[in-house]
Order: sequence, then C-alpha cells, then structure tokens
Amino acid sequence: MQEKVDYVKTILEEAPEEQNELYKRRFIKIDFENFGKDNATQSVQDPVAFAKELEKGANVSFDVVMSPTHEEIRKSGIAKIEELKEYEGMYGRSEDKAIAFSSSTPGKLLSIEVPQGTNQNCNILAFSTNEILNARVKINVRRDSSLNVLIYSTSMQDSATLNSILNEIYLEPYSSVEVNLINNQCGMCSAVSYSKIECAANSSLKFNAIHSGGKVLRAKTEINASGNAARCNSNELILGSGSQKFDITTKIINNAEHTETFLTSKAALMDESLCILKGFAEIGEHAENSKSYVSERGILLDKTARIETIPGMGISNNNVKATHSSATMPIDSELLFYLTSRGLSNEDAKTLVVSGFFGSTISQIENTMAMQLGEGVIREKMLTKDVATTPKATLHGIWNANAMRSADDALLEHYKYR
Amino acid sequence: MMIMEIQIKELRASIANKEILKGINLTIKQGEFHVIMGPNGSGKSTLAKAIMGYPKLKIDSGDILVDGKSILGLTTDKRAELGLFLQFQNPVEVEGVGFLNFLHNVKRKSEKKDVDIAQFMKEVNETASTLKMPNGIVGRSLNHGFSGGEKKKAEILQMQVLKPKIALLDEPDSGLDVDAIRVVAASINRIFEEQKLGMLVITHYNRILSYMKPDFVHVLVNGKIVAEGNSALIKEVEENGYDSFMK
Repeated sequence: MQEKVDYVKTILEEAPEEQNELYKRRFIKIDFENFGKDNATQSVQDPVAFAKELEKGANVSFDVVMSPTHEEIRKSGIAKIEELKEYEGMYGRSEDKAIAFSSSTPGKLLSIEVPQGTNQNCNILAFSTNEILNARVKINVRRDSSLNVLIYSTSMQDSATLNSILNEIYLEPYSSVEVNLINNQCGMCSAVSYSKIECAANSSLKFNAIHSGGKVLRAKTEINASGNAARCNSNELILGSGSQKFDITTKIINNAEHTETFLTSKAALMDESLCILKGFAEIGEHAENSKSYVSERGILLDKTARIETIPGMGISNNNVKATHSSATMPIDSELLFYLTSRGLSNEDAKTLVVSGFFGSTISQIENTMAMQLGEGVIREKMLTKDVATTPKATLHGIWNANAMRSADDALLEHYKYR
Repeated sequence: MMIMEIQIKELRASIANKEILKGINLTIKQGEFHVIMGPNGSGKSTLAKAIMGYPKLKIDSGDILVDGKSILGLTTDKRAELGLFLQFQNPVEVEGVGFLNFLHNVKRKSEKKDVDIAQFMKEVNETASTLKMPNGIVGRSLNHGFSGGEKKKAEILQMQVLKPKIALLDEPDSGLDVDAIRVVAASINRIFEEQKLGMLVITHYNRILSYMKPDFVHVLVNGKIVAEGNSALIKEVEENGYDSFMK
C-alpha cells in the first residue's frame, strides 16, 4: 500500500500542467500525502454489507458492484470484470500522471459490450474502502443499439484514499447512449473521474455528471463527435460544501460535418468550497455546418465560496455556429426574502433555489434510478451540508416542474411567445 | 377564535443610512380593511417590507407588535408562520421550481401536516380559474415567464391558498389592465369576506379602490402618516392630489 502511495505522489508532482505558472492558478492538486496513513480508519470495513446498506437506503439495485476487495456482476451477458494490468486504452500514459498511475497500478477493468441492435441498461456501484479504488470502465456500444448507464462512485466512511475511475466509451454509428455519473465520495477521499467518449456518425450521446463528493475531485471529460451528424450533450452539476475543491475540465470536440456538441455546467457552492470550471469547445477544420456551445453558470451560497469559470473555444472552420457564456453570482437576497416570506426557512429557501437551478438538468435524466440518486444526493447535501451523504429513497417532486421539457418548450411558455 | 392584531409604534427605519420611515403609528386587526395611499417614494412598500422583516432594512427605533409581542427579533419565515403575508410588487421568478409544488410545500409547512394533493390542486385550479389565469399556468415554474398581470394574480392565488391572518398587498393593481384590475379587486374582496383576514392594500391610485370598500384609509407622505379617515379620504386624494398633504 505505502509503495503505491509513494508512486502516486511522485508522478503527480511531475505533471506537466503543474509546472506551468499560468495553469497552476487554475489547477487543483490532489493531496496524496494522507493516503493510507494513520488518519484513515483502520476498522474492519465490509464492502458487501456497505453495498447492501446503500441499496436498501436508497431503494436501488445495482447490476455491477466494484470495490478494491470485492466485485459482483449481477447482470450477466454484457458486463465482465477482469484484473487491470498495464492497460492504457484511449488514454495516453504521458498526458496525465493520474492516468499513468491508473495504467500501471493493479486494479479492475470493467468491460461492457452492447450487442448490435439491442437496448441495454447497466447501473454500476464503484466505491473505495481503506484501499485505493483504481477502476477502468470500457464501454462499447455497437451499431443501432442503445445503452443507459449509471456509474455511482462513492467511498466508505473515513476512507482517506483515492477513488479513481477512468471511463472510455465508444459509440458506433446510429447508437444512442445516456451516461449518468454521480461522484459522492466521503470528505477524506480524493477522487479522479476521467471520461473519454468517441461518437461515430449519427450517434447520440447524453452525458450527465453530478459531482458532489470528495475532499478534492478532479474530473476530466473529453467528448469527440468524430462521425458526421453525431449529437453530444454534456450536463455537469457541481455541489460543494465545507472546504471541498473541484477541478472540472471538459472538452467537447466537433470533428465532422453536421455535428452538434453542447456543454452546460452548473455549480452551486457553500461554505469555503472552490470550483474551477474549464469548459472548452474545439471545432475542427472538417466540421462544416456544425454547432457547439459552452455554458457555465454558478451560484455562490456563501460569501466564502469561490467559482472560477473559464469557458473557451477553438474554431478552425468558418461555416459553424458556436457560442459560449459564463455567469457566476451570489444567491439573490431578494429571492431569499420572497421565499422566506412564504414561511420557508433560509436553509429551505436555499435548497429550493439550488433545486430549481439544477432541476432542469436532473429532470431530463431518463434513467429513473440515476435521477432518484442524483436528487437524493443533492437534497441531503443541501439539508446537512455534509460532503458525502447517503441518498434516501424519497422523490420530493420539485424536480418535476420541468420534466421532459425541451428548451423550446420553456421558451414557448414565456407569456410573449404563447 | 383569537383575533390577530398588529401594532406599529413610532417606527423609524432606514436603508443604507437613509431614513425612509419617520415615525409610523398604525394598528391593523384581523377583519379590518386598511388602505395606504401615497406618492412615489413615500415609504409605502418599505413599511410593508419592514413588517415582514426585510433584511436590508434597519429598524432605527419604534416597534412592531403582533398580539402585544414584538416581532422585530423574528426572521421573515417566523413572521410568515404567525400569519403575515406580503404580496410583492415585483415577485421574483424562480426557474425550475414548480409553482404548484412550491405552494404545496409551503402549505404543508404552514399547516404543519400533510395536505391532500388532489384536494389542494382542486382549490388551486379553481382559484386560478376565478382569477382568469391561463390554463396550466400553475404547472409551470414559479413566476417564470409570467406577464406582469399574471404575477400579480399568482400572488393573490397564493394569498387565497395560504390563508394568512393579515395580508399586506403592495400595489396589487400596478401593471394590470382595466379588466384585470376588476378581476383582482373582486378576488381580494371575496378573500377578505370569506377568510375574515386583516388587509392592508398599498396603492398610488384610486383605480382599484373604486371596487373596494376599505374601513380605514391612511395617507403616507415622506415616511409619515399625514392623514387618516374613511373612504371619503380617497375622494379627497383624487380631487386634490397629494400636494395638499405635503404642506
């Protein structure tokens, strides 16, 4: 264990971006000092009992359970787990030290293969214990098929370790995928959540990520619309409390004609938490008639919270439609006064505002279990302010205000357009 | 049933060191219909906000008592729990929060028990229909994309459903067309009759007052109540304007 920790520390200190003075300001280092050290609870942790308790509390059932010492596949046919040895996949080892660590360290490789012409779903629970979770998820969705996948990533209480999951997803032509990623690790755990997604011609991707847990969470997502008319929609929600730090980098790439890639990031932060949102849209020279937008929004619920939004674009074709925007503001005091004047406490009013802020994204998640878990994580965190909370099986209903509404519907509801 | 009474005693209040209210004395009892008239910037809305505990407002002196107890130390939500309701002049829009669900949650909180959703929806839809609100508007986000008139009607709808003991209506007529003023005034009158609540209507004009029969009329000028009377005072304001009260 100690050997592994030292290795992580060494490679991360050598990361090229950490040597760049400009980037340093917008790069949150993962603190590897405490992994496996004495402050982690050394009590006996039973991963089987943990998984069962979580499923019971949230009234959910996972198809795949992964932890450093325990794994289960309850849905045979499309998923298999094997030991991870010297594996790189879509990731180049040299591009990031976390990737280098994952590639060279023993762990788990979960492969999901969706056969041609089928509709599948797979709900995955991945958690770290006192030991580091080093997992890779490789998904291949064949032509004319669809997949709805949930990856709920968490950690057992007091596990001061690393929770690292690297996803790679291939969409073949005319396939459709909804990925729901929920990061809800405990406040002592550092999290690495990387995803690389390749979308072939006429494929459709909806990527929803909810980042709520971890002492430090670094998420990197790269979505490449490489086939003509591929449509990719990425939604990110970040909810921070305490002294949590989030480093979120998302790159959407239009690399073929008539492709559409959209990125919407929303962050709501409490206490002294910090979030850096780096959304970047790249439009290649062959991406004729493509569309792209990056939108970053933030609400500061406390004066000491901080959000840095850095939207960016790189466009190499003149015949495209592309835009980006970003806005961060403190929670509106007039709004709080209005809501509290109806009898809601200040905290309930804030919860309601955050619910509304995230609601349009949450309500469009098609995977009911992911929607329920995501809602539970956000609601419990708003109520308790704890970094990681156990989602409960309650569906309160305020999300349904915008259920199944498109942006056009929302516009048409305005009195001027009715 | 105990009748709620709110007493405002020598209230002085300021925002950003500027004194807005300069010694207000006013008593409103449940079952009484009060109107406050006054020119722009005289402190009418500030008075309503002061009663509800607007955080940006500093109470310099005086007191606000509900049933003999000061409420100055209470937060806004606690004042609402007592049975106070403020209809906002410019209600805020809350995107993503369903109007109906919001109202149901607030109602459950005020009733301190579960509220049958079917019965509740029936009441909300009936009230919306009475107020001539567009079909399905209560299924949308709270005030989001509502026109100015719809927002005012939505506030009246909330008052009907939440059943406060004393309601402060801050310009329920501004931004409404002549037909809508008639509809809103009729709804306010009906709620007043049915629920026997205390009501304070704030307005610039006598337009909406031509449909109402207030028990007491107060004229507020430059942070002070300068005249009090019955409906006859409305006519005096209409004929002479506020200039005669400013001298």
